[in-house]
Amino acid sequence: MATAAQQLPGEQSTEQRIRDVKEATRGVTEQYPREYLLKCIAEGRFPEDCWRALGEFGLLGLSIPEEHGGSGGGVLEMTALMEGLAEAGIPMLFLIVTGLARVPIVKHGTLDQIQRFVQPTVSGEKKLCFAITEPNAGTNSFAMTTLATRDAEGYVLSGQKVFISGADEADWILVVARTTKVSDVEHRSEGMSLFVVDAKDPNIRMQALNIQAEAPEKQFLVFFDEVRVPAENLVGEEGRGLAGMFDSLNAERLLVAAMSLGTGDYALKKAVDYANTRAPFGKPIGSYQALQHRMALAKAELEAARLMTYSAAASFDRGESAGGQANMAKLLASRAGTQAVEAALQTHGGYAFDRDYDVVTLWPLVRLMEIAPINNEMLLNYVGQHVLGLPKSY
Amino acid sequence: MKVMVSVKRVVDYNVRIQVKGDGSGVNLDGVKMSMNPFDEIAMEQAVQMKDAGTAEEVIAVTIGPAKAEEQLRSALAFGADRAIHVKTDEEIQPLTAARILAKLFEKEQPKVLLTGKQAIDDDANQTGQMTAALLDLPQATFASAIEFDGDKAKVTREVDSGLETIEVDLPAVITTDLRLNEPRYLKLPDIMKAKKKPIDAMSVEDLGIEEAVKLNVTKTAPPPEREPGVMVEDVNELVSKMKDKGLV
Repeated sequence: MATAAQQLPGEQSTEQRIRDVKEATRGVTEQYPREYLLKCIAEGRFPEDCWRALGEFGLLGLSIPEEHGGSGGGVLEMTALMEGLAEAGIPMLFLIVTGLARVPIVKHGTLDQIQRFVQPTVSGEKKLCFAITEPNAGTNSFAMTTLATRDAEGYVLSGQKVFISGADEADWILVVARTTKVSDVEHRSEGMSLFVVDAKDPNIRMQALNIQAEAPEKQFLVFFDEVRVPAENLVGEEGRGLAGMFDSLNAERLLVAAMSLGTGDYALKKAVDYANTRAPFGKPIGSYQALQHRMALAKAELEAARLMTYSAAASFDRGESAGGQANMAKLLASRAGTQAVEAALQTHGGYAFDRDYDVVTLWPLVRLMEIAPINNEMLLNYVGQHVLGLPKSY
Repeated sequence: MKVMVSVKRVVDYNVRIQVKGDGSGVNLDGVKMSMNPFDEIAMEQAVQMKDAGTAEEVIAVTIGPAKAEEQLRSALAFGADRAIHVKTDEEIQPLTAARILAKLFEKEQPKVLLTGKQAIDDDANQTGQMTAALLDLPQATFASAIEFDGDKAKVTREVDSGLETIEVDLPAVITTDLRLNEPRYLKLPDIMKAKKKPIDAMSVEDLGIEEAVKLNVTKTAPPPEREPGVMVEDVNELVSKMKDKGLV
C-alpha cells in the first residue's frame, strides 16, 4: 500500500518542492489566465482545456506515486499547485475535490482501485468528486444517514448529499456513507465506509444549487436512489472509513487554505497596482497610510498563514497527525484571504463594486472559505478541545 | 552537432525594478530572478534542433552566483543534456563573460554558440559579439530565423532597415532575437528530470581567465516620472499644440 508522503527525487527542501510546482503551474496559468476562467464562467462551462493542460504538465499527477503514473509528491505539492493557480486568479474548486477524493484511495485502496479510479485522473481524462455533506447532518458528518446496504451482489446505496462541487463533471463520486446506522453502533464515528460510485448511474439525480460564487464548478444536491455499487468499489474496510475520511478532510483544509492565500495575493496585487496609479488628489492613493497599512497588514497575515499552511502540509506528508495544524492553517488562511480581498475592495472604492473591475467578484468565494468546507467556528472548537485540552464546547 | 547555449540569471521581466535609495544600483532583495528571456529563446532554438535531430548534444552554460544553478536547472528542464556553471559572486561584465565563454567554447568545441542578443538587466548587447571576435569566428546577431545546412547556417537578422539574411560558416556565434520562437513552458516531469542531469561547476580562476577592466557605474537613477498627457478636442487643436511646442 502506498503512503501519501511520496518524496520527490533527491530529498528536496520544502521551498524547492514548492518552487518546482509553482514554476510548472505558471506554464499553465500563462496559457489560461483569469480572463479564460471568467469566460468559462460566463459561458457556463468547465475549464476543460486548462484542466487537460494541468494533466499534460504533470500537475494533476501530484500526490499520486510515480508507480501509479503520477508525478509523486504529496499534499504539500497539491497545496503549492492550488496556491499557484489561485494567485494567478484561477481558484479551481475541482482541484480541491479531486485532490481530496484521491487521498484515501491511494492510501487505503487496492491496486485495482488505484488503477481504475486514480490513474485516469492524472491526465485529466477522468474526473473524481467527493460527497460527504448531507442536508440534515451538515457539519456533523457522523449524523449522516446515507446508507449502503450489503446484499449478495454488493451494496445498495440510498440517501442524499449536498454542496457537491462539480458533480455534473465527475465520472466517479467518492461517497462517504454509513454501512451501519448511527443508532446501531457503539460510537458514532463507527460504521462509515467509502465507496467509489459511478456518477452517471441512472439512479443518481442531481439538482444544481444557485450558489453565488465566481467559479465554473456548480454545486449540487445529489440524490442516490438505490444505486447499486459493486463490492470491489468499497475503499478500505467496511465500517472503518473514518481514517480515510479524515485524510480527505485534512487534505481539503490545506487545499482550501491554499486557495484562500492565492486569492488573497491575487486581490492584493490588483489593489497595489490600482493604488499606485489612482491619484484623484494628485498623488497615488497608495501613499495614504489608511490604505497602505491595510494592505500591508493583509500581506503580513497572508505570509503568516502561508507558513502555517505549508508547515501543516509537510507534517501531513510525513504521516503525522496533522489535524490541529491543518485546522489552524485553514482558519488563519481563510481569514487572511478575506482580509486581503476586503483591502482590495476598500482600495478600489466604488469601482470595486463594478463587476468589470473583477474585485467584488473575488469576494463570495473567498468569504465562503470561512464557512466551507467547514466553518471556522468548528475549527476553533477543535483547537479549544483537542489542541488546548478544554472541554467540548458544542 | 554540439550546441552550446549561454544563459544568464536576471531580475524577472515582470518585476517592477526599484532603484536603491543611495543610487548604487537596483534593489535585488527578495526579488524574483529568472532566465534572461532572450536566452530562453536561444534555449528553445537549441532544443528544437535536438528534437529535429540537427543537434546531438545541448550544453547550457551560465556565469553567476550559486543561485544561478536555478536557471541552469531551468535550461536542463528545457532539454539541455548537461550544464556548466562558472561560479562567481562578482559582477561579470561583457568582456569578461566573453573571455569565459570563449574559453568554454575552445574546451567543448561546439558547432554553434547560441545566446540571447542581450540580457534584460544591463541591456549591453555585447557578449555574443565579443565572444565571436575573441574566437575569430563568424557571428550572426539578432536572429529571427535560422536554417542549418551542413557546415553553414543561413540566418535572418532583424536590423533597423528590416530583415537581412546572411550565411555564416560553422562554427559560429548566433544571438537570438524576440521573434525567433516562443519558448516552451516547463512541465513538471521535465523539471524533475532536470534535477538528475549533471552540472559541472568551476570558478573563473579554474579557467585561468583574467578579468577585463570593469566599467565603473557611478550612479543608478530611475527614469524621470512621465508628465500627465493633455486631452485635445480634435486634430486642429492637436496640430496647433504641436506647433506651439515646436514639434511640427
